Amino acid sequence: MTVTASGQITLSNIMNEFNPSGGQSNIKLGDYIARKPDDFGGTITMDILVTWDGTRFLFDGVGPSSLTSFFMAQGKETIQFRLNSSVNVPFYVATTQNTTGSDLASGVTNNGAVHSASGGAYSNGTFTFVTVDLATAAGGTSELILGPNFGNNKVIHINTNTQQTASGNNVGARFVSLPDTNRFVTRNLPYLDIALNSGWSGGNEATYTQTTPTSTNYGTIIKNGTSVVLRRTMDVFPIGGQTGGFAPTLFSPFLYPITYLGTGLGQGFNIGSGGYLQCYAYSGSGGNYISGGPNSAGSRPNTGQGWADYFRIGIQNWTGGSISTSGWGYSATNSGANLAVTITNNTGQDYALFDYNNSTMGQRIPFNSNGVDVNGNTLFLNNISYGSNSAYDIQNQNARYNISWNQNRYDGANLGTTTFALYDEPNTNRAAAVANIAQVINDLGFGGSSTFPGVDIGSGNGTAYYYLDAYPNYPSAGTVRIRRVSSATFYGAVGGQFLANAAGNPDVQSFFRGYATGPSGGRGCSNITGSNSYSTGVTTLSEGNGTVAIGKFNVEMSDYYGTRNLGSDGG
Amino acid sequence: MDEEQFEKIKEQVEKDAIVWELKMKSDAENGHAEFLKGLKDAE
Repeated sequence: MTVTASGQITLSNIMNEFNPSGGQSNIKLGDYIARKPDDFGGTITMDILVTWDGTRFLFDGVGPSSLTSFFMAQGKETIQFRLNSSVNVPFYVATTQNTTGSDLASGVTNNGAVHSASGGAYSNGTFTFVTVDLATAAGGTSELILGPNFGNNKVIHINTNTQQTASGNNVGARFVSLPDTNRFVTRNLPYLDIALNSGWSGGNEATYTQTTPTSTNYGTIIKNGTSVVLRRTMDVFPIGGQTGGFAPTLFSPFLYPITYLGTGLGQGFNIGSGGYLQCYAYSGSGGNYISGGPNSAGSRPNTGQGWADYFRIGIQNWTGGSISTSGWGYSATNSGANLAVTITNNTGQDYALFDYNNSTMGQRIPFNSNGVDVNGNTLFLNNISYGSNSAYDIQNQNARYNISWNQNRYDGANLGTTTFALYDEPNTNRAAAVANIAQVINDLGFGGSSTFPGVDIGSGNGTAYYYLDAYPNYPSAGTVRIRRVSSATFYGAVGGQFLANAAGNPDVQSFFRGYATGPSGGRGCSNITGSNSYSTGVTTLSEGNGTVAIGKFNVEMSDYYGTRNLGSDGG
Repeated sequence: MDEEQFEKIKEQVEKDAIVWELKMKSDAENGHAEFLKGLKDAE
């Protein structure tokens, strides 16, 4: 049911829409004024752009015109005053109107701020934020009182260190803190609900899993003081092998020293000059080597086990390569043809490890070696059909995900795509993931990093995602509601709609691009997926109930044209 | 690390691999020559 968009409207029409059990007598229009949606136990933010025109503050472009000018908001809101570069005077939130910076209100962060272009805890260089818990700062709430008792309103005053003026007249601004009672018309603030998979299990970048490398999942990090086991089932060298035999060299994967850009893989790293190590396992004349054929006499037959034995029995250290062998350890074991080479890093630095691509076999192999064919040609194992069963310790990852959405404004204008990305803490379950998404959106400051681990959310001032509120475990456990803040200038006063992103991709993406390609589900992660739903779309200001007054002041019946009941959550 | 960052590293590795595999070939052939010399010496 929707109140007609034109023509005659009766009080009964409004009551039937917003309070159908209200009865047909004593209908008070004053009960059908607007409220902001529920805060679900969290914060409901109202964003206000503040400018200084040289003599007074303007709020979303509107300035006070007298000493008793007022604006209205609900006491349950946190007003986020967003100061732009014009604000070169102190912005005081006070309990009295004054020009001394005194009587500062409680419940205010960064009170007295001047715009800072250099950033900081409450600035991003573009804006500086002063946030106000309105009911706390105003000492409670009150319905708007006009007339001789105007001074009894619960208000905050916005002061600076000079008398504000407009056209030569003294002016002052205050915000009246309105209650949330006796208000049946909830304004729309669009939201997106993300329900995470109940089996959500994030991985841990500190752990490793023996994995068969693939074209989309290969490479790892070998941390200082740790080892990686490289496995491959060895085979008969297929091209005869030179009479008299040969002594293969084992070549390590490519190794690059890395410098992390932050505290975890999610922030990435730079690589330094890399190279490879080699172990020439030949132990001298008459010693360890591969004979010419599977059945011929010699140290080791040209069989899978012969090759594996050769690398286990031969020299057990890195004998050279393109990088220094200092700090690198080698050892090998085998079970039949199954060879396991352990490479140990004690260089003092973490290294990225990249394996070899055998395009002939369509496989990736963790180490390389060589044989010599009947014509004396040296052939490498990554270029011929040889061996099977590659595996090595591939580093797992914490859950990493993108949440992206598209938005329309209340009038249908498209606002583009917004992306929220998070590389999470290790071993997150669904509850932790929901809590972390909400925490980062609500608390992250410009001075912090959105990249876990480290939970570095800066000073917890909530300025990084100042245009969003997030509510964990709402409307049900395992779901996080992301809602646009109330704002007159940012996206329009009310309304609009969250939409699936334009590319049609999942709104929750699980992926790892920490240092190498990886599976879409994330290495060591499982079920890090989710589904999403959106609040009812709004294409006009009226549909979002944005035309209905929030205070009992200048209320007109025509304000209700096209309005509709959006429940208490505004959806 | 984002896609772009990783792609740069991957490109670097692929470029390096071409050079290094030439060096490996040289090292392997030297190793084999050493081996053959050992065989000959043993005779």
